[in-house]
Amino acid sequence: MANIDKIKVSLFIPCLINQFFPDTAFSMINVMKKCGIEPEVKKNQPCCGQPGYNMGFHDDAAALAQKFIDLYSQTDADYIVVPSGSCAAMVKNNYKNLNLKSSSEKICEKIIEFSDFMYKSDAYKKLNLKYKGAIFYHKSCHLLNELKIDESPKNILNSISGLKWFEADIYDNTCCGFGGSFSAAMPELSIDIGTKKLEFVKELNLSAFVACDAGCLMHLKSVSEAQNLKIKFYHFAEFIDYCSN
Amino acid sequence: MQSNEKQNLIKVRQNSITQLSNKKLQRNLKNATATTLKKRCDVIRKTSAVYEKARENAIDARDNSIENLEKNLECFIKNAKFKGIKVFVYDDYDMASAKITEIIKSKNADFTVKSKSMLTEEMRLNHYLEEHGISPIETDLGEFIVQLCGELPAHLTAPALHKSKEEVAEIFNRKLNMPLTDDINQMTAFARSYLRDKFLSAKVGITGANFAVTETGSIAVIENEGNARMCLTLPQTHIAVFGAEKLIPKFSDIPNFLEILSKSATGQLLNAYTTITSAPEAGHERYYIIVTKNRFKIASDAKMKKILRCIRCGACQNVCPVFQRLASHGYEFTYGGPIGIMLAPFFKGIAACEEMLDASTLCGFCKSLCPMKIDIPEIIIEHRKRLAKLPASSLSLKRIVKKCFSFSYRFFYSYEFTRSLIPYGIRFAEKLSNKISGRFYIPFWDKFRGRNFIKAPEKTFFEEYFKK
Repeated sequence: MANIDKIKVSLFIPCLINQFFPDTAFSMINVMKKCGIEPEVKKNQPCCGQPGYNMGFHDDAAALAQKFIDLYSQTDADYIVVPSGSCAAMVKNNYKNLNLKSSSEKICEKIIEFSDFMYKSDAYKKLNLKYKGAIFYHKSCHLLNELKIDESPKNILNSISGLKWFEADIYDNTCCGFGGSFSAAMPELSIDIGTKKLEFVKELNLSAFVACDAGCLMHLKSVSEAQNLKIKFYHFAEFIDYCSN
Repeated sequence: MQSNEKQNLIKVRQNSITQLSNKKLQRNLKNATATTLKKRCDVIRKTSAVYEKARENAIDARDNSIENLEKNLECFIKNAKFKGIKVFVYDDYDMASAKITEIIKSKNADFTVKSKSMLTEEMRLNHYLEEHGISPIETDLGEFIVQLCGELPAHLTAPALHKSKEEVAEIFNRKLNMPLTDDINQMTAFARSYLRDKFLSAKVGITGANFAVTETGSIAVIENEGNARMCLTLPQTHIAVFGAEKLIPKFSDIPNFLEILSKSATGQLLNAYTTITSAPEAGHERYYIIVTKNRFKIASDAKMKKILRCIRCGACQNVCPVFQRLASHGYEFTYGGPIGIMLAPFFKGIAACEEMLDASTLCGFCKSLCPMKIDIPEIIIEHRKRLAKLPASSLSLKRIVKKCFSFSYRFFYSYEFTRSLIPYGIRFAEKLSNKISGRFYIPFWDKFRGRNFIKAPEKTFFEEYFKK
């Protein structure tokens, strides 16, 4: 990656963050500013089209994808940073399966997930990261299995002094149970998967939960609140912002 | 056809409620899948270089077979017949079952020993045989247990993984008068001696086949208990029943598949018994009953043919958070979990599988573990796409709701201004429901205890950011 002072970054704000967790987006901008990056936020950002795509309505997804491509082909930024593994995976892996008027290739190359960007650009080294205590780090499925990003966020967590973090192995538990339309179509399963996940966190005596995807956080937060589990949820960007204060 | 499919809708959601309410079942399923997964992770971590190499070779070999499935099958049949094996090919389950019945009856047998075969489950062969006065005796321990319980297998490789040892002891006690015990060794010894007599007196043995080698006309049967080898060698007549997708090109491909199958399935370095056979011994007879049902259809479907790579290791089932709660029974299909969702639309009709296709979080762990690198989420999405394209005559209420959601998403989420309208809608609903009922009530969400609706903040990010 190029020298960090010369990198131009544009941000993509996912729907859930825009709507439910605006603080996460502000945290992300904060963190970047601390690293000396002045990110661009484009007006009129569309949804990446993932909900329609996953439900099988590829025409609807393509309409949104086309808007996405049109918008971001206007930027001269080197990277389009996305604070969500699943939105980034949608653009990077799935746009090529849609019938789009213009090629998505150039944009897809620019797409990078937030934690991956922070690690690969070495931006995180400019931050003096400190945290006192322990957290649970949840490997969001699309980040891990679609984008194959595992080490980047973990390496940043390792660099935080005073932090102890835990994760679940593949045989303990995996998905949070959100799954977009799955949570609406199969609510009982969705809730049960989320509940078991949180029980695992509770058994580790942890009360802070960090993940790179707002979807997982929203679902688990709703389960946690309903069951009064007193777990705090942080998006990775929020957590890094918190640790650098 | 369409309305028929709709009537046959597999009610996965209803099944999920039933399965989730059975706490004991949930515990058994979780324990069994977690143990296998842990063993699998350990063994593959230790041997990853060898494993990866074998995996690539195996994928190449299988793709090669799928590419010209019909031609390869002809070639296999020719080679098998040359070795003195009697080969029959059927597209229809009942015709295949009838042929098997005919063979067994021609040997004057009234029972048959049978090793584990998912295809025979798919065909409901046992049911057919029983109806025609032949009693099939399952000799794989797991299948034996499930058969005694009058159930269907819960998993590809571990048919009785949903049973605890106490439950097994109870059924052995009730059905076979075994004295109650909690010692697994004692139970196994009991089943072993019970089955031994059957092996020795059987005139016909039925097995499946894990691989069928085109080049030589031979089959490979992979197992851990030695029961399949006995079904295959002791009785004078052996019938191997397998699907056309089991083909692999060369004899020398077998080691690659051995390398990945047992590691991926059970976390063993190698399975205990591998029997590779073709020509029958003197005085013995061997039949191959090959079933082609839907196999050619899948092989000729460019976007779906990778499904046929599957070697039925069951790793996708073990890691699937939905399968871990439903077992195969919840899918009402021989194959549950990710492999089942991929196959079911071909067998049950896509409209009948609407709920099944919804029953995936698309988390992709199945894809990351699949030894044959099948992109399972992509195939599930392809099925959903085909479902969405079904003609209006077969629309279900659910699909209309989904389409409306997707379409309004397309409209509202195109621009930042319209994106910001949604939270206004949510907040308005919140205020209204607070006024009426004194609490936040979204009919759909509130119905399910265990989940709150997350409150939207006063301003969306874009409103806040561009205000400055």
